[in-house]
Amino acid sequence: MNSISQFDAHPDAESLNGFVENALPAAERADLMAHLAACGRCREVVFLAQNAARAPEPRAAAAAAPIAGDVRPEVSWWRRWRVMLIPATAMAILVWVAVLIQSNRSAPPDEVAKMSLAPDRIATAATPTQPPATTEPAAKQAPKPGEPVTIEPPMQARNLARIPSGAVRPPASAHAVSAPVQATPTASADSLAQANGQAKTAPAPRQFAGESVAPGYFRSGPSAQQQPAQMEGLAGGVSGAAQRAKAPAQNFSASETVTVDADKVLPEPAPAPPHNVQLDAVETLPLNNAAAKKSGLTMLPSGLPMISTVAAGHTTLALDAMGSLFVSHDIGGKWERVEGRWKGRATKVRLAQPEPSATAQAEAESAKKVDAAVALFELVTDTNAVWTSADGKTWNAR
Amino acid sequence: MSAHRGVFGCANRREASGFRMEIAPSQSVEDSSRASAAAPPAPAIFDEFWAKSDAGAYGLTRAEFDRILQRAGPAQNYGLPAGTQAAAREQAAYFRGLKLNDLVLARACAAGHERAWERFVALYHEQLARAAAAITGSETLGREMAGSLYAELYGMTERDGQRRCPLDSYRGKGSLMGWLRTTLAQRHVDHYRKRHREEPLDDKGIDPPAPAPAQVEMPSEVALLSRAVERAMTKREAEDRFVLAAYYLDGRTLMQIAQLLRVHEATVSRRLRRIVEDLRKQVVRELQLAGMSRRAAIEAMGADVRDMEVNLKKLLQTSEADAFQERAGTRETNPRETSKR
Repeated sequence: MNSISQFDAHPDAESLNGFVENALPAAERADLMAHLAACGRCREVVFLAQNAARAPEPRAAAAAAPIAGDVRPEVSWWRRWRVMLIPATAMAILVWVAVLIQSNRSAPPDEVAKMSLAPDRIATAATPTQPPATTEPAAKQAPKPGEPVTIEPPMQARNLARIPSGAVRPPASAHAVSAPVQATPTASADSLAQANGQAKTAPAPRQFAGESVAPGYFRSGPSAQQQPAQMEGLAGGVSGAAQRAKAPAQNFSASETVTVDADKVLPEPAPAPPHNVQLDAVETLPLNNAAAKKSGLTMLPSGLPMISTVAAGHTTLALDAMGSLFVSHDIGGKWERVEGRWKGRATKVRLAQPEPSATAQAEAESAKKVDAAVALFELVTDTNAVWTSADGKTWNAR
Repeated sequence: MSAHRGVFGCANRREASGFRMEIAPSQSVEDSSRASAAAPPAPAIFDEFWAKSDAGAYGLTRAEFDRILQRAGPAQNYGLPAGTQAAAREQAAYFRGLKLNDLVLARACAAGHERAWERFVALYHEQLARAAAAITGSETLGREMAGSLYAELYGMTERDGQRRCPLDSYRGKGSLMGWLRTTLAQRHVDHYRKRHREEPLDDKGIDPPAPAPAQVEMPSEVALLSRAVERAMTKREAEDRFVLAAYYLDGRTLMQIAQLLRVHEATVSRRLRRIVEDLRKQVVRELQLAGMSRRAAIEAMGADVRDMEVNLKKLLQTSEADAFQERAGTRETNPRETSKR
């Protein structure tokens, strides 16, 4: 007979619970094990009690019982917000990238001016291999045939086609000439025509005194002193030069300017020719190809476009559309506003012009003596008052 | 404190089995203490326990507290075999091994102290409901069963004009919550068995009983195999048989068995594999002892078990209370199955 059949009664809850919780002495546990091996009912009890003991318990703070059917496991705060961190981070990155892109697109105007007024690049860009496509020498005296030209032919040539109508500048003041550009009239015209793919023209280019402006880049069109009669369109840039060459007798003096009403004429997005500040002061703001392509305007720190500018040496003066004067000593790298004592609104800046009766030679000689640091500037207001300054910061009524 | 009738009178069986048998829901330890010849514990030991327990918070007096301990110790003979006199040190060790706070709370509740009941409800109300829901598998049924137990614990039942409290049977070996869970499990199992027996018959009518199957002579090899299996099974240790029964008869998982035995799941797996292998070897040995050759014994192991008359359930358990799987109809009926002893 099986020994396990002796037991026909079941252990009480105390013994079974002691077995489940391992709280029985060894002897009692062994006896109970023998019973459990034979009794399915007690095995069921102990397994049920064990499963109930291992059932998940709610939180200890059960004072406020949750609503029936609305029991939610407590989620720590960082887990709740952890999911939100991913899209929030992605959004922050997108916003930051957008801000960077936007800031890169809207480059400050001084940066553009800096690029456009870099004399070194202009001076060094001219290579011997480049065709000497110079047109108007900036020397105060009439250019002599055979004299070298120190302008940047490639830039001129490339930008010649973009010369707007009436954008060709007359010769500038004779005082700002340091190293006058002498151009071979014949050679310059031929070179210009070659660079533009145009037919060569024989006429000598217009000769300018005290100005070494290539006919290509006249950025501030309205402020540019123009000779309307001699201006050609973009397509007629070369022909304009040819026309000018046809009239060799037209010698423009350094003081001859074309007055443009700054109130009416808006600056045209025309690229300006490269500027050689060592030779002469120019009243236009030359731009390099990149800046000219991007925007035809030079923006001053006031946020307004430049309507008039003059440079001598490393000093550059510029007027915005509201007549505010800015000075830069690093060729447009950094602008400094100048508070003027003049009344009215400034409309033009230029180099100090000599007396009209002065001969060209005297002007050239005086221009040689003028150092870039002591160049005299003139400012004209809307009431035609003229103010002069030696450094661009201190102005005196003329 | 109300007097509890009812004899705990299982002294003889207790001595034979080593643990107390459950006879009535409400059992008193007073008579058992009188029946025991153990010496009363020294009061000095109770000072330490009184200081550590929350008996005063439950409304118990020092005298009542001492009375509780004086009954609990001798009732179990301080955990020592029957007839062994417990020394003071052994008595102290026994009391220190008890869940004194739970024991005091249970006895205070059984005595009817309201503060103890407030503490009991605050501690165990929700836990009891959760345990009942886990046992029954239904929150509704669980709350119903928990409420029924609550009523019984609170002494709503009377027997022979006396208020009965099942908490008197709690002796502090395990935790009070564990005791409550086990009590719930017992009630659930007993209720299921009772309800299963009372299932209504089919409305179509009662089929006449099937005629007794004709006795079929088993092949001799199969008969030898059956007897060999029986002998091999009976020689196994109780724990091995428990594991076999729990796994193969009850359908328990390795994890459940491991948690109950407090071993790793892999340990149970290896143990089962070892038990089966040992049984196989034992059966082959038994067959060889019965006169079969080894080769023949091994070939006999490949016999169809359906041809055998071995009732593993009968071998593993002889209790009339079958497992739930059987009640649920998972038992495979074998017309040729007979119980052999």
